[in-house]
Amino acid sequence: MKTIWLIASGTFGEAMRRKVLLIFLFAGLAIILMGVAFAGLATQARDLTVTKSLGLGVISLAGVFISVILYITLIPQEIERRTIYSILSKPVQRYQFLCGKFLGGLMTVLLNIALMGIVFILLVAGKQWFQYGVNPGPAMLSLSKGILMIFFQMTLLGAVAMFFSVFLSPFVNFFLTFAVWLLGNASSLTEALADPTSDPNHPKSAIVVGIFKVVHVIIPNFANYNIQNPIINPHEHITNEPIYIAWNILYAIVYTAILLTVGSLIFDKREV
Amino acid sequence: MLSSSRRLSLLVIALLLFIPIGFLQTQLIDPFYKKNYAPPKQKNGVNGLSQAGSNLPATFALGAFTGFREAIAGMLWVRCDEFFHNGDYDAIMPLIRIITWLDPHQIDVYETGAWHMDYNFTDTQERSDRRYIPMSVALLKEGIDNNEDQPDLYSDMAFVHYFRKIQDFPLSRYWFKKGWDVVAAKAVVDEKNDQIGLKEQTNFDGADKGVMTVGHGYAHALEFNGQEQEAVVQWNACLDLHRKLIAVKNGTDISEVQNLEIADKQLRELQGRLKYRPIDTKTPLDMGFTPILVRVAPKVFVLQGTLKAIGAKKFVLETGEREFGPVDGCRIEIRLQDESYKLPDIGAYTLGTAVDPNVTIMQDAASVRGGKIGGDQGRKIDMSQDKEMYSFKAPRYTVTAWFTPNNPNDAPIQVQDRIGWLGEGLDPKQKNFVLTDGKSLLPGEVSPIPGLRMLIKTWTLTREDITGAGKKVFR
Repeated sequence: MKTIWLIASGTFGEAMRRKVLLIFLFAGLAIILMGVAFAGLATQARDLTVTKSLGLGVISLAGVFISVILYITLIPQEIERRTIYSILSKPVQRYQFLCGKFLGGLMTVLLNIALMGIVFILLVAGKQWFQYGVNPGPAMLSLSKGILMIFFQMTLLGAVAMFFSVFLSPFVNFFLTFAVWLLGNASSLTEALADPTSDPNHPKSAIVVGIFKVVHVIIPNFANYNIQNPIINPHEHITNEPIYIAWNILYAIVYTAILLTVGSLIFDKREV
Repeated sequence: MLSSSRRLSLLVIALLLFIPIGFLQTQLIDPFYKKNYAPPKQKNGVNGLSQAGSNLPATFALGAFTGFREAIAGMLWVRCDEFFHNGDYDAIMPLIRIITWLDPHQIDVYETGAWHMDYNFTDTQERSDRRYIPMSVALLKEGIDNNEDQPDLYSDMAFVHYFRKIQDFPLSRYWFKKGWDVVAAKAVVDEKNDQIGLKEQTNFDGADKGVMTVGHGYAHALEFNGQEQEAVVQWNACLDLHRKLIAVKNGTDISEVQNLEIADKQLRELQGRLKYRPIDTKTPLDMGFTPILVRVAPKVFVLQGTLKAIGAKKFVLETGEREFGPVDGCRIEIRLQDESYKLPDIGAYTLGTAVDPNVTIMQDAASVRGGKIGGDQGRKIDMSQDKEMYSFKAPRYTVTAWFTPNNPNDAPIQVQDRIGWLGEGLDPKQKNFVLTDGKSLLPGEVSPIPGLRMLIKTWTLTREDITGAGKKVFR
């Protein structure tokens, strides 16, 4: 565990020095701040809706770029610089190296999302308090839930990128990870395609239904984490939401464990 | 490097983990997500691949699937507002479809969209295009399906749509009742929470929103359906809830006190009328309803004729002092439609939904002044300027002119004081009198009201009767 932590902290320090990630962080923060101006275009009733929705969307998208750019390069960079040889020549198992890299990346993602999230929450709270005279407490809590879900979505996305990075070049990995992310966001689509009764006008064969069922389960389901709608429409009350959040955190952890395990097995076989 | 057997066992363990993943996804997460977060399922479409979704421009579709659904919906709604101010209503309709798909909980989009369809597509004389009515119903129904616990949409369906626009009081009562059930259920929950110390969490916010809109509206709708005793019960229920709300808010909410006063006044007036109307409606009244339709130019008509309204010129409810005499303020409704027209049942409002260009419907109303329909000049109805709205493709048309005593737009309250809620005081021997006997006699398939008496006149015209030149009188 100590080995993993050492690799993770080294990775975190190195990642934070990478300017490309800071660009996404600052761009995200700038768009969140600009969101106030965008929202001003909306009617008063929709002002907070647009601000909240835009902010959560920007944090999510900036998080995606930060995660993907970070994770697709973590392993290939070590190989390219040949620093991996000096690490693996020490008593470090490959799975420890992989897990350490993943954890370091995750700390970086967490810091970035937390920074954007704090700025965003304070912005919305200020707007509610000063502009509309509304107690911002409930909104801050619900927005925190949304940001927590974005973080776990990025955890899962990072695991996908990390998994591909052990056997693909960063260029191919970038597009493949994005494709998986988009497909995973269209889960209601894959679910509908896996439902034989969803479109009575176009009956599906059992094989087609079976294939889409497998696809629906195998593809990491990123849409689960998009819970913005009730957050931005405060009249919507969801019962048992904490349980849903807990299921999704569990889903992210188990799926990440699968990807890291299989990734470690592939990495273990790879000649480095 | 790991041994082969260890590698294999790890791989098997990893793959086996897909079992709990599949269970989590399909059995726990999917049903919850679909119920609370997913784009709504639309009729004639597949969840997530609905007609709106499948026609969504790629930019929006991408945004919709990447966490920007509501942001895009919000921005599009801003764009709608611009179109609205420019009078470009046609551009708004597809956007409303997309917005409600992206964010099914934007209540104001359903409300405004249905209002546009009900009122804002008009001809040059500002008569609304009735062909949009089924679409308006479809949109509001979808809104209610997606937001079952929001009283606002029930109120819109009941009041803005069925009460004001269609004047279908049984359906208005139906939707008010559904909305009232939501409000009453919220009040019960709020009261329980209040009793167990969760006062600050609820503060009767749910019930608060609807007691005035759907609660009072339901009482009025009952009255206009001739259910006065039920209306008394409903006003009392509203008063109870107002009192609870005032108590919860420690009397600090002035508007709630005003709402209570309104309900109390309405109840007292209703009770007064229950006392006097049975007496005042005993003598049969002949209102002399003789509408005349005159073609003055191709597709241009004038509605004229007489309606002699008698109403309370003075009525002191407290003392019962009252005086009756000729009054103004009545209204005659008129509707022209294809003889074979049937109200279409639109299951869902989609991007492809459009009005039928071959259908012609015109509906208007004429005020009665000095006993004359439309005053001295009559009510001019010009259908010659709007060829898209009045295509006159059918060979024959029915034109109906009517006066319904239960409709407060036709018979103001002082006239109802003389003829009763359902026309009990009308002389059945007079010309054009009809006892509806629970049958729907009005065009537009307005729901029937048992016991309703009304005055109605129907003409059947050919296309030539409408498009021909020169003056022609239809009596």
